[in-house]
Amino acid sequence: MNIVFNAKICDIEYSSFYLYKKLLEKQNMKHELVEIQTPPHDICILNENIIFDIKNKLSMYENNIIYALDYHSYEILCLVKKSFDLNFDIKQVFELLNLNITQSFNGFNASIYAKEDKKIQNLIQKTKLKCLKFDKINLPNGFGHLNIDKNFALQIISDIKEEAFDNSSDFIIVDDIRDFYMLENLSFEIEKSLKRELKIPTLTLAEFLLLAIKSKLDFKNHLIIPSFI
Amino acid sequence: MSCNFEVKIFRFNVKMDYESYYSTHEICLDENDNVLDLLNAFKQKEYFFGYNNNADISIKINSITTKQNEILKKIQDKFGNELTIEPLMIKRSYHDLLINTDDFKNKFDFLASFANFEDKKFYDELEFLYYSSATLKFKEDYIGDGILITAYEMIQKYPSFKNEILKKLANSNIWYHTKIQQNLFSNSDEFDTKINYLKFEILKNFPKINHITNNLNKQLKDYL
Repeated sequence: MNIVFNAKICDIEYSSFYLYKKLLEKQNMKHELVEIQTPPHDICILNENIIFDIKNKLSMYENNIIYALDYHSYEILCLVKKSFDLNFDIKQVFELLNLNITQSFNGFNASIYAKEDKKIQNLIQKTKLKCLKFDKINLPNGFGHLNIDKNFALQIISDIKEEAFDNSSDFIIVDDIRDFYMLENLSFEIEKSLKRELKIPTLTLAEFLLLAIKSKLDFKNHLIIPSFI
Repeated sequence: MSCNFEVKIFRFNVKMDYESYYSTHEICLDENDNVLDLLNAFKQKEYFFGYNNNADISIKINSITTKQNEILKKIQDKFGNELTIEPLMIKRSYHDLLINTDDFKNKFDFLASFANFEDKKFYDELEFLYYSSATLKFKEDYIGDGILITAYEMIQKYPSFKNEILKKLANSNIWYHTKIQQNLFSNSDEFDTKINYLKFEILKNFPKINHITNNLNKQLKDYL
């Protein structure tokens, strides 16, 4: 039984949780989904009680491998493990997948804005999608600064989105719910801050993988609907 | 074993150039040579190339802050064979990889009243850290991660200054710190952990010192 963990950020409604459920079910992979509501990682590191609370919820999974649903979940797991010296291994849920890719993305260009971009590129290479060089990949997403200085946060994320757009990417792939929120939910604010239209969709890795196996998606959480679907 | 690289290096001479440009050469060296050897080999091809002939200083390779003593085998493993080499901060370059660091030096004034010669020496060694921060690109008056790490070390060294230093930091722009780990070749989380400790201590000891701490504490309370 694989344990898949999602640290769902309280303020963000959307998550890839049910999408990965679909992907794992397609592989007939037995899994237990564990979802807990947490503050964003940037807030968790500022208060020991919050980390302690998350630790209590995870302690029953000691001596297991825990698969993080996205990079935010991965960071939360690492924080808890390090703070309390817990005994579990942490991996990313996409490492469990061995999908039968049937949809070709030949002729499409994408920018991957993710910490594990190399692993993701390997995972999706069968789709023939061209992953463009992305210089801003190491810039932070600005999510942690939204409540400190929103203009500053928007400046950072705008810089990232603008590069992807100017590189002629058809879309951006992310693997962190915070990246999705910044690039997609704040699309209009980014455009306003840049005084420029940037109609480039953002897909979570789970969404892209579902498209790659020809599953239907409704994109109801997207402000910029991918027009190529 | 040898390593073959296609090396693209940032070039700009404030006395001669109107605009910056990049020079590209193919360079083959032993995998146990280091980045400085690579720069020396580049110098053989471009006589007027400006760089610091010191293995302990850092430059940027493919946008990641990298020490010049890093061996080429590791460089190849991380970046492959195409390298773009730039100074720590392009807009402060006066001769290729050499930069004017006055902004970094001036920011030490923030801690000067608590510090002695050794603390200043410690700070000077953190130049690479200061120029690795993404924040600096968007906020030039950012206090700098070098100051924050020096403050952390000074608090450990002189516990009696702890509250004064924390108070001063609380009213600085420490809150604009962005994660630096992924910008360093070592990918070490050591510096972020220390800076997060400072924020943690400020919120604990001075929760209402200004509107940012007020706001962050309110958020924490909402979550608890």
